[in-house]
Amino acid sequence: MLFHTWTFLIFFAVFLSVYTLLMQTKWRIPWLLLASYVFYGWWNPLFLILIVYATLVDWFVGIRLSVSSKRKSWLVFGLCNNLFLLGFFKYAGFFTENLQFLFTILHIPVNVPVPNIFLPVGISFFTFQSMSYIIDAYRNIIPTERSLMRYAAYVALFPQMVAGPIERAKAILPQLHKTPVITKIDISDGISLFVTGLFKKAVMADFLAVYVDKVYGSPDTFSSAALVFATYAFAWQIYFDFSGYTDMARGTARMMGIKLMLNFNNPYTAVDIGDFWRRWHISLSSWFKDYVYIPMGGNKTVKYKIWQNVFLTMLISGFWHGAAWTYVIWGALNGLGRLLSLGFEKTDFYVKKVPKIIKQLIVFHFICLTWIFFRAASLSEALLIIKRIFSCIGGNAQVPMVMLLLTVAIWGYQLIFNSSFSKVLEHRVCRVGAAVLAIILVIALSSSVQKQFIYFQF
Amino acid sequence: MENIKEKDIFAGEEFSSNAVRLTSREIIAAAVMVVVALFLLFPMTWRKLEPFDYGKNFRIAEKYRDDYWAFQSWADAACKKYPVIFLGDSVIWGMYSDNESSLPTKINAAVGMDIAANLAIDGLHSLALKGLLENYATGIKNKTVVLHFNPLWLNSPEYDLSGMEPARPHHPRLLPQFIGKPKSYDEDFCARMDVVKEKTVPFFSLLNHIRLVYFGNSDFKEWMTEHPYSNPVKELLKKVDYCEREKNKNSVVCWEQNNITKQNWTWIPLEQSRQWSAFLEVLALLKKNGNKVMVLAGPINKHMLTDESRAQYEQLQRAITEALKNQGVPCVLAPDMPSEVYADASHPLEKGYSIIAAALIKTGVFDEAARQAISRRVALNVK
Repeated sequence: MLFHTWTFLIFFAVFLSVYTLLMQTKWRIPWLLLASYVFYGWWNPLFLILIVYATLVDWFVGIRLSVSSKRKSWLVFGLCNNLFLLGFFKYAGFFTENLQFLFTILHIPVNVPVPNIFLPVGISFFTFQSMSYIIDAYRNIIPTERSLMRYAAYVALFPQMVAGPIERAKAILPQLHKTPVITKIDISDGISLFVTGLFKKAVMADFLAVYVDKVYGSPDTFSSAALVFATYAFAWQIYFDFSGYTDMARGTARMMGIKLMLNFNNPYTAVDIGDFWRRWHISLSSWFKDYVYIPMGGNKTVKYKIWQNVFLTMLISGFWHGAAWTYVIWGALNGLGRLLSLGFEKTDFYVKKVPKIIKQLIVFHFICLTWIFFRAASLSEALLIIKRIFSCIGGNAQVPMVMLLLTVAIWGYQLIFNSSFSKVLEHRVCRVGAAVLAIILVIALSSSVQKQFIYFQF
Repeated sequence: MENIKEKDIFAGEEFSSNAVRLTSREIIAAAVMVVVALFLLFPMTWRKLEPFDYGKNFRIAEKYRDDYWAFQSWADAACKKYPVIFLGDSVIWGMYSDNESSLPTKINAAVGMDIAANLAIDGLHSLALKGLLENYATGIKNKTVVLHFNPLWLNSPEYDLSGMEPARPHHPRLLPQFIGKPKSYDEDFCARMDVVKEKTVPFFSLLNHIRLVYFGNSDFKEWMTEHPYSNPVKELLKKVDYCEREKNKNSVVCWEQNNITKQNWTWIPLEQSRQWSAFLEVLALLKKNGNKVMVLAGPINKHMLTDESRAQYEQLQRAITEALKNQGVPCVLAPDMPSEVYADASHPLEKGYSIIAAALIKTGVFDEAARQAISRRVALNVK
């Protein structure tokens, strides 16, 4: 079920009406869980088997962690179970394909059967959420959740379960324990966030997608300029797509009286790669920081080890995104970028002499370069695109002017938002006018066929 | 709780990455503005600004047959100008005739003045006509209406929309989408909700119109990608001819020359027909709006039917006459015509229209309308 469809609108209207009635009763959590399972099962009811299994195991592990003397064994079991699910459903095909490739180049006559496994929507998100619960319970950061129903509602919480934010148990479970109070501000903030997200997705992301799909669909036929513009367009498409989803998720949850974390914070205004990752998909970055980077030693170790930790964390983050070499290279490039940033930040010239806007432009362009690997259909295609970009192949870029104008307008808005002129945007007339314009553009430009969100594939 | 200062409401980072944050009052204000824009401002402004040229013998062009916004404009204009309205499908519209020789034009020629308007649309079966009258032709009131009933829609459960097998009906956007939806119409839920939206909010009908007429029926985003340097506003200023002047060039000869074989259709009895029950609802709706209705049933090319099918069809004809008589509605059965005036099973060639026009004139149904037109013209001249 996609947020920007009639099906969701009706689902949510029914859900919220009943939820409001049940808010003060013991039926609130069962209703929330039922709705979450309906939402998730809408894609494919078979997916429910997986999430119910993961929930039962992790809840049981949580209980064992609070009473057992073999806590570490239970932690390892819980983590292995989640990693097995992720590995089997997401990476089995990748591993077998590469194994076969290896056998072929080594002339070993073995045929590795490639499994044809469907990838359940949002598996990367809810397994990471579950793992964070087990680790936090093990570290005694949170108390283990005794109620299976409440724990299941946390794992399957429908606004965020398929594409984040990857919420920690310490942020959500206390909200599920309390009887929620839905204020007028929750409703107005929820609607504001939802409309913003809808605009980002239906107007901006889907518009940019038409051009990006056209150029990236046959990169060998387009000029260097077209490939550059399509890469810029993809940078904005993925931002609007994913942050739009997050805004709608946060808005939906807010209307239910549940606060979800901020997942994007103007990432393209970042001044270094580390800053970018503190602004982009914040819930994932902080997850990797807390559960991968810091356990590896973080920055409290020797310089060489810090570099290694930074690089490996980014590499794993890339692999989390998708079972393909393009994602691995994307992660590795981000790791290298992060290391380069660390190096630059140590020089007086870069820190004091280079203007902020130049730093922002450098970061934006570096991130765009990495997006090529993220978007391209294969590694060879990504390399072809880079080769063609730097070969200065002439030809018309065919950039839709309206799309360009809209993107520049949004970029301008973002820059103003972060500048001392932001007061202009705070004025009531400006905000209401922007909202009215956004809604009318959503109505006028949204297609009857709704596109999936990019991050659903992860 | 609601008493937040504007400074606080724009909290920025904690709220979202550059989202527009509104208070509940501001949301209500924005919602009101959007509603006004969608229901009144855009549709009314567009109607005022967009030039429609309804010249003599106007009929809506085939390529705009799904543009109900344009139809509504034409219907409103026709109701102001003409005392007689022709409603029906491509038989009335004139599939194999140019706009100078369709049935309403023949009537105008016979009467000697422009009294009849061609408001027919290709593929407009009764269930779609009902949707059209309810949503886009509400201005047809206190007129003489010649309502065509084409029995061809009853030649199979698929066309009658009484079948169970999924089918792609003509004018699906005019059909009932939920209550009363034909079982064979199996469009998905979201697409049907979009149709309800279009019928309810004029802005969506306007959007479809703009997309169809000015952007080649493309999605706006796709059009702008295909025409990267074109100015979409400039497209809106181009002059559009909504009138269909040409003949359908696929067949302007008689059906036998087109190698069409004889058909053995099993006609659906009236009491089981979905199209017929919709037709009765159309009749009721037109009468409720103060219209004087006369039904033209047929023609059907009997030469194209097997003996068995022809006998069944004649039984159907009698049932139609009987049913309309019981309703107190005057009915003219299109006369049986020579084989060579038919282009196919139901569409006459130009000569055929002359024969049907003569039969209609004979009923005297247009006399009063002609008198009204003369007195109106006299009154205008006196003024």
